[in-house]
Amino acid sequence: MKNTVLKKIVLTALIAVIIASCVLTLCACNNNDNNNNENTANTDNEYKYFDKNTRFDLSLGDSSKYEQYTNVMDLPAPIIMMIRNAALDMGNCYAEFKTDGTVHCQIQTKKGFINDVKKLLTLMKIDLEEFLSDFSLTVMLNNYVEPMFPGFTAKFSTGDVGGAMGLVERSLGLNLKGLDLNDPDIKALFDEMGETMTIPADILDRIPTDAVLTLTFDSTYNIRELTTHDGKKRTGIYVSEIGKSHSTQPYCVFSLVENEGVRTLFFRAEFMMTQVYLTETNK
Amino acid sequence: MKKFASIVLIALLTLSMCFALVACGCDDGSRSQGQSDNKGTADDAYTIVYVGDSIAEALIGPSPLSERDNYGYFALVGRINNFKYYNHAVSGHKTSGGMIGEDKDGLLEMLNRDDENAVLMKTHLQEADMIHVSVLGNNMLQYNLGLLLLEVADPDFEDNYEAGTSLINALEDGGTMTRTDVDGQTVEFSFPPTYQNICDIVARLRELNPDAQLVFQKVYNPLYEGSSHLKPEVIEELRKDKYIDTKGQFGAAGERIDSIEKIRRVANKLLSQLNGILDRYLAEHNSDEFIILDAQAEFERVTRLGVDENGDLNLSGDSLGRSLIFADWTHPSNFGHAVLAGLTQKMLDTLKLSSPDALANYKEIRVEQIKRLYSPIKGFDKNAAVSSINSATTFFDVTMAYFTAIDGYTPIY
Repeated sequence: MKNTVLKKIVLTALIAVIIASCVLTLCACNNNDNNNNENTANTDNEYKYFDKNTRFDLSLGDSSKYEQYTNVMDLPAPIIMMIRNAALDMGNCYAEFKTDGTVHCQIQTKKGFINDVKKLLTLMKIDLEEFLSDFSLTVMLNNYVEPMFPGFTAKFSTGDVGGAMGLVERSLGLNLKGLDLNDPDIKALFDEMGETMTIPADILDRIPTDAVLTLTFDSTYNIRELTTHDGKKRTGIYVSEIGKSHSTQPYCVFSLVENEGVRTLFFRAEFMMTQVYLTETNK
Repeated sequence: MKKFASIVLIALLTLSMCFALVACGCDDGSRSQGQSDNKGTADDAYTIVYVGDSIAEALIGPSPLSERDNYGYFALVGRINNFKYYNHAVSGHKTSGGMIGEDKDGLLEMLNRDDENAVLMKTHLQEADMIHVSVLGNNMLQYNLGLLLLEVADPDFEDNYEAGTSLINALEDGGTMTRTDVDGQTVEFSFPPTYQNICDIVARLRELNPDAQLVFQKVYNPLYEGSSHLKPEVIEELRKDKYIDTKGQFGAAGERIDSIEKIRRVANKLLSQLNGILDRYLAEHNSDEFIILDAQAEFERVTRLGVDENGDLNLSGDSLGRSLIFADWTHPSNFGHAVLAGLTQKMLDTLKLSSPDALANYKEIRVEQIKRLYSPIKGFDKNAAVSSINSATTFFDVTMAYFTAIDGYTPIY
């Protein structure tokens, strides 16, 4: 395999796993049995929630089900496993649906993941500097981030990373924990990025090796019993307020399936050619 | 590697968008304050289903993204008419095949899926009253746009097209051709059979739902001065003797293609070829099979409303036309989405399918946005903005009133 191809695979995989993790976080939904409501409760008159706090763990990389249920941008399963093992604390990647209609999702990195990622890059002979040289932070900010989150660039370029991220958090309920923005080294890193509008090639060396990053997302959900045109029953978890009105459905719809007493959630992100699943846990 | 970096970049962006989309309408009130989508919408309400590409999906375009359901045309049309509406469009989708490989899913493949999950796309299509399709854009934009422009700018284009040797032949009928780029690199074009795909898409939609009104939206021209689609080398190439406009297609006969206005005309010619696939379908089949929404003509109309102080058409980076396009130079902006919504609304009016309250509902949405997103801004004249919106008498006037009022202000959200 040519080195460039390998690079593409590994780098795509890195990104894909991050995305998959985030999608899982987003979609971290829960479901009830198709045929009864024993595990759900009706509140708000018509919206169904779980009748007890219910957690689903990200099942990324379960080889017994991988081929059938998981697809991350069509990457080979071993690549996904490798990246999962290097970067993710799977015990803390989950979605919890609460009885009050809220859902909390999170993806967490392993302690020391920075070193593992660096080893992985070395193993694959990937030159991060070369890779990052193809990125234009200015283009990314101007063409996408700023219009998606107006006001972001002004804050970021002046070193106010907390303010910039605050826009995202206040707007979307998304939060990234684990980086101390008041730490002089971290502050210097972001100051440099804001000033030069580049991602430093030594970025991995400048993040504390013991850093644990947690991406959290909080929203609302409701459980919907659905019927296909030909009469088959499906259970969906609609994440966000959109879809409650029956006039539409939200972007994020999870499918809940129960087999032999095990409840599993599926989510498919079409535009990323990605499907992931989460399995109910007793934690 | 640069292309790959772009893919990675897109992936990173989609990550953000995923979060944003799920977050839209979350319980912090960031979106729910702006929603009225449960107002009077009955379970048996008229149902419109959107399929196709990123233009319809509206992940990239709405700004801020948390306002997707106030700006995306799919939601705007659904909400102001109290329709049920479902958006099953997918960013990157071509008529068939995928962004990364031709063996991946595009619209045609997706339409052939069963309802294996709770998204129920097939059911929604089967039960739709109207199916709204936006799909041709990626059949062109996922390829080397510069070479495609040069192809149609070539004075010999018509002869080449007639002989079946043009890239446009491959774009329409499928196949692989190679060309040499302006930088000397060999570029391979491997197109899906776009025309046949459209035939198959219509046939599949008819199989799923013989009664639904089908609507196909044409692709608009996104080129304005400074567009990232226009590489300097391509602009330079277009100026060369080889491309002197002997037939006066892009300006006066005998002139070089040396201005953004002329380049836009070249792009319009390319788009007319692409969009002409829809016209060709209707010419060769039942002409009532679907309605065409001419987004190319509508964006051109709005673009031509923008003139500078000398009365000349303004195609600069801060022109009215440019403001139809998102910062990425490709997708519709908030304004562009509103114009596209207006185009669909006009069709609904003609078909007598629109709500009698649609205009009032549209005003309500815009006024709510003014109050929530802009009234806290120091110096912003909320009363003037609201008055301007409320006194508008047409959909387009409301659109102009709203976007004129907020021009230059960063929303508080």
